[in-house]
Amino acid sequence: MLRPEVTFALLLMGTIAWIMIPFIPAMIELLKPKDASPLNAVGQDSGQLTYFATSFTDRMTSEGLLGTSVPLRLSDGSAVRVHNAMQPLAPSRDPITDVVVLMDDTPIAGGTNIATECLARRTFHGGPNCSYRAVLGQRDVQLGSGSTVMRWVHANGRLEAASGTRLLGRATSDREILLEADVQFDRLDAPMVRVGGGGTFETPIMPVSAYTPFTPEKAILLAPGYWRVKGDLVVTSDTSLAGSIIVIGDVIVSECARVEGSIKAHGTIHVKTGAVVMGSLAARGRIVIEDGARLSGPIISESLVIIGAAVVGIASKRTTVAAPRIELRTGATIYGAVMAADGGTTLTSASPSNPSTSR
Amino acid sequence: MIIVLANIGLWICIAVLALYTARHYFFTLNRLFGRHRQPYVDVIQADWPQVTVFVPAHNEGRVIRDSLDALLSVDYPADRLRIVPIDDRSKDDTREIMNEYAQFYPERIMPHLRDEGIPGKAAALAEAMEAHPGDIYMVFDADYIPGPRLMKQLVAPFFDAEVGAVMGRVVPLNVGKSLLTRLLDLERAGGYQVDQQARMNLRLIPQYGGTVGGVRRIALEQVGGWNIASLAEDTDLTVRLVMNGWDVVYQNRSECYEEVPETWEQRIRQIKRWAKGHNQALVQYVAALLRNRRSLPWWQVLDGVLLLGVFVVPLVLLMGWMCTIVLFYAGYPPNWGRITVLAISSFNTVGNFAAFFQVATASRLDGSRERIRMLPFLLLGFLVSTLSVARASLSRASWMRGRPVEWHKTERFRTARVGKGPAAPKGGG
Repeated sequence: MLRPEVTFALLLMGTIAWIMIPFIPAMIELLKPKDASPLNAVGQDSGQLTYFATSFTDRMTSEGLLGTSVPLRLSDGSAVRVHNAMQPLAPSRDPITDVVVLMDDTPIAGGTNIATECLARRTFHGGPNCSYRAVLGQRDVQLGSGSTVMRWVHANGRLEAASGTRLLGRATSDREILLEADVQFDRLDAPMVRVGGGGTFETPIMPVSAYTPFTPEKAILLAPGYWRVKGDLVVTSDTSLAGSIIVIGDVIVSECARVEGSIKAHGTIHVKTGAVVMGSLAARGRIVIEDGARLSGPIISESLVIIGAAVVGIASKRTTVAAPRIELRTGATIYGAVMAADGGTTLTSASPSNPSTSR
Repeated sequence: MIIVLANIGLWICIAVLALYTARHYFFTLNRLFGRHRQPYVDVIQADWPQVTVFVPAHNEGRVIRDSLDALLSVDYPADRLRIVPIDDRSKDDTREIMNEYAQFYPERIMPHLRDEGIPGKAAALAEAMEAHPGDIYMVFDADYIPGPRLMKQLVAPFFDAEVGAVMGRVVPLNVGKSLLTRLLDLERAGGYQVDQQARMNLRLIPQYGGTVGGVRRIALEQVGGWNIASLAEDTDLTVRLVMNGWDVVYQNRSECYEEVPETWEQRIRQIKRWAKGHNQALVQYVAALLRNRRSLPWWQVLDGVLLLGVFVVPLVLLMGWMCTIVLFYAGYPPNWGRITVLAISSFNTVGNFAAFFQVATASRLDGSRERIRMLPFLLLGFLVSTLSVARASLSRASWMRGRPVEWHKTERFRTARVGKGPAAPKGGG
């Protein structure tokens, strides 16, 4: 039988040893650091959708894939397949895991699955129901109906996506992105993004003097031309609001009204036909843009953005539409980026003038 | 009488600590399982507004070249970005460096040089902003090194007309220098990756930290400008903006490197300064915040009160320990023996680990696999902070208003340039 002092000492030592256990790996990490460099946090690719396409172009240039004589193997050992009209890419159900270089504009057979990067040195004609990991087009890129791009696609020329295409990840163009109906997308960026082949009617922007001045009622003036309104707000037709406004409710910008500044709504924002907003729109709820409306600044929703046959941005001043979900209807034209965190889609239906009331 | 007071005091302390423990867990669970709210980070194309970047400096010769180089290299239209380094009575070569850069970039860098007036960051900013009017003001401390994408990310939230201030994430650069810098790296991760982002997710009150962020001029003017009498002008401004209906936004992806203190002496001085400034803001605004509860949602009011009171917690903890000791030696028998044992056990198994849980979660979210091993050493940082903050909270400066009479700044340790800007002027090495 141990004496009480010994028992106490053993218990104390045991407790201390137990407490010290977590300090063993801590001490090892302190003396021999494995993870003591600054967090690699300042991302290079954020905010630049063409990052992967640019990196791939640089790599292909250094590997000689853009030259006259294309090597059959990259420096890391990856195999390269070169195809042209004489040696077309044969239809196959098996995924192609080599880097594919298309030397001319011979169409890709339907159902082809290219599971690695594909470089098209001339216009890229994708067949229906094809699947690609990443596509870089030196000229135009045409994706066939029902195709899927898993990571990114970039066209130095125009990017066209046929009905049923899924653009997962990044889709960019140096010139224009043209989407048919029923295209799913995540992130788009181009000087111009259009839905449907037809043109979009651009409502002429009238001078401010053509409108009746609009002053919000029961608004708190925060600064000259800067108001806050508790409750809903309707900017009435043919009037002009000269400034920016924060609304603790829903906002309707009526037909042919004009807002010189920006709008923030805690609820929804509805911009009706022919209305013009020169600043930005930001809402916690959905934002609906009807046919014929024109907006200049960014559109930011924490819920959903629906854009009809309206024009967002200006050719010389690109902008961004950002929301968890985005619906672009036929005729929608966006100069700039469309960023749908949870996914976007294109639709053929008519103007979104009667959206459901849910936020 | 002493037993009754100690008993009441103990239960008050327990209630306060339990509230902060619940807050730690709530925020951490939100970051683990909640939706990540970052509505502005995807704004990549826009007609970017005119921005004025202020770099307040006092004896920052060791670091300011890196900061200016980085600011000159950011991806932002050069004709819309004006950089105003502010020198406030530096005794080293800070002013010469600023003038040197201004000579090379006369259109972009416009130093604001101070030799008189009230010293301190808030006063320097107030004066410089008056001299350089603009719509959006950004502020970077002189030891901060913004990445190329940072400026657009920090400006993007201002397209929301309700946003009054924006805060980015601070990432330590000198992590591997000492045990302290490693602990501060973990603390910063917990504070930003979990605490600030959870507040953003939950629409509470992310704090504008006075650097790596910016403020809208209209909002700043509407709330009365910088409070030059405050030791924590950033907390002061955050509370006033929120009380006046402006949003404060935190952008977790907008990271910027900083240099953290490398000695315990510096760290203690820094945290004592923060504690005093925070406590000043607590005294000044807690009543106003509670009175404002009709115009603000109750959860924002609660978060605001807890945010303002965060540097009182160590004092409360020490008071709780003292009450416990008094009760123990007074022979006070717990009335509810089992409940007391259960409470103590629960606190030891859950409550004590709330802050550690938060830091561990932040490391996981950052993808840091090894640095989490340093977690047990946080106990050391915790004890030092508790004693330092408690001591600061007992000082007169914590509770009395008064204009600062000197610059409060952290000593710099950088001995070599972090990197050269693409067009750094001669002598910049």
